[in-house]
Amino acid sequence: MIFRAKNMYPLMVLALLLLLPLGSPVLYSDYYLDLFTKVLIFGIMLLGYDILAGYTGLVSLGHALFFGLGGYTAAYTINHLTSNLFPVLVIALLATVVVGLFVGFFSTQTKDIFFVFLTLAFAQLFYLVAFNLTTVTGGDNGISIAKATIGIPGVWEAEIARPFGFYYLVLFFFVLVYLICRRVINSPFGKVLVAIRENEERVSYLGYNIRKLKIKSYMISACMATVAGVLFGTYQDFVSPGMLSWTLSGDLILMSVLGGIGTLVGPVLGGAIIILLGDELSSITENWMIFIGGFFVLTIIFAPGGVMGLLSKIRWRNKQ
Amino acid sequence: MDFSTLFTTILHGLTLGMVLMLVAGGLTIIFGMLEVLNFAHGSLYMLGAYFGYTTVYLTGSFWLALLIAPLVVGVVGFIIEFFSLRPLYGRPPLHHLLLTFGISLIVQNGIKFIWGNDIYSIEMPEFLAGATNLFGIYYPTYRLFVLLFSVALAIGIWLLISKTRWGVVVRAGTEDIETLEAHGIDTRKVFTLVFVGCASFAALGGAVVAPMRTVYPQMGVDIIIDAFIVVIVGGLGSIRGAVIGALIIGQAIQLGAVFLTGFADAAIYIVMAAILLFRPSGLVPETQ
Repeated sequence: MIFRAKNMYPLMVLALLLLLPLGSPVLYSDYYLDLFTKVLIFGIMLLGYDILAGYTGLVSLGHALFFGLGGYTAAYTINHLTSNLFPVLVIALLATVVVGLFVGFFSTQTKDIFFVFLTLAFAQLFYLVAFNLTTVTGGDNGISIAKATIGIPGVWEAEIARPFGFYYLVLFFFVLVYLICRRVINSPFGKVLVAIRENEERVSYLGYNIRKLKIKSYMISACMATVAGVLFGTYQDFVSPGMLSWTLSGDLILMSVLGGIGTLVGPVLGGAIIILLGDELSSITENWMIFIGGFFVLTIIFAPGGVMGLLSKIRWRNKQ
Repeated sequence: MDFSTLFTTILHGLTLGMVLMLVAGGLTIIFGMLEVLNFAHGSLYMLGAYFGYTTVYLTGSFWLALLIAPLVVGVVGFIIEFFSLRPLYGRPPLHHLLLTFGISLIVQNGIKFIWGNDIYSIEMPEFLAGATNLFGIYYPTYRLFVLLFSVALAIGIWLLISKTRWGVVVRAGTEDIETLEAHGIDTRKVFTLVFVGCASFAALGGAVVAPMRTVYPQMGVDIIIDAFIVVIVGGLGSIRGAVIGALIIGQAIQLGAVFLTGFADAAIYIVMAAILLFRPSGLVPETQ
């Protein structure tokens, strides 16, 4: 019975997410639908990030690089080539493969704190290019993006309706990415990633090519961040260097740890908490990050497993 | 480029390197002993600058600020170590980095709350204003003061570490903490003292640099990224590495500002990436 109830959870969450827009504008304003859309976009990035940071144990402080890369590639492709979202995604992912393999190859040469800062260095270089190469990227002013469309080019195309259309589009990608990530971590490959996190040396004694596996893990999470970046850019109709800034990468770490790193669902939950709570708190004081910092410090000291860690502890206690 | 510009740039780089060393030195000692990656170290430096500003504002004495700032921040350092780091010793270093990242958020937003978003400057003592003639080139006197002050501090710390009984404990702590404990030394007390000492040191750095670089709420984050890069380039936990790293990064920033106009900030990342690619554990790797 317990197992069956457990299997129902994901479906219940999916049903809730599907029904969420119907509450607007009666229960809450469109503004909240906008926030939910952002939560899901960040969720896509956080799911991918958890594979790298949570399951492989490689904490990157440069993941905004791919979020921004997705955004800027989308801006360019939509403004100059095609407004159709699917070719845009393909092009953005191709760009990620090129950049990700380069950065991933060099970054995975190091580990721990050195990995943290090498990924930061690469991301900062892209940030500086976006910020300073004004003629191409618009510098600090960013680039406005034309409205994106979906459909089959030449046959049927439509602008993505807002806010509902976009919400469901993002939800579709979120569910897709979630299924892919679950598939990855439950596969033998995913088990080896966890083994690398726990004890890299032993895994290499078993004959695995650690470097190759790490790069693969890095690429998967990079691709998810790119998808999130494309969606974010097209949703906002605008990209700016802020998408590439290291504080965004820092936020990813905050969200992941607060929710519970290495649980897939946890980081998404953490992201939702920080985005929604941040929005509430920001109406009280502009320095609301002081509260987030406080929560975060308490989490690390008393509940290093984050929200998910607390939940599983409670469940375990109830069973006893 | 003419010689005098180059000379000035290199001197600027040297001054900046020394300032970075004040922060990076503490960072590397804390890591070497406590195995804590202290992201909040930049916040302590920033608090030093703000307390320095307030002291000058209230009393008008710059020298008093150099005394008050390290003392107050020492207390803040004690609170951080005693209440948040202590429960975490023995956990993976990443936990400490995350914890202190959270602390830095609290400090940064707390500072905005108390002092606001304004940029402040501290007035320097009159006799240090103006410029000094150095071999025919005029160089700001205050920068020379900062340079000499930092070098003197560094020599003082070096003497403390290499010549005193205290220093023996610190050096032994960075090598092997269990053996130190086996010799009957209460390492918990040593940890607290080292953290408080390094916090005060960073605060002194922040206060002394304030008249030259102004006081603003992002200064902590700005310096901590640079200081981490210094420590990583030099080799985590190595004091000698931090000095070498600080000199390299100081030059990289200043020369980058001259030669890579528009991409000045890229210089340190390029230097760091290049060094890490050839020496993944930094220039002076910790011997284990």
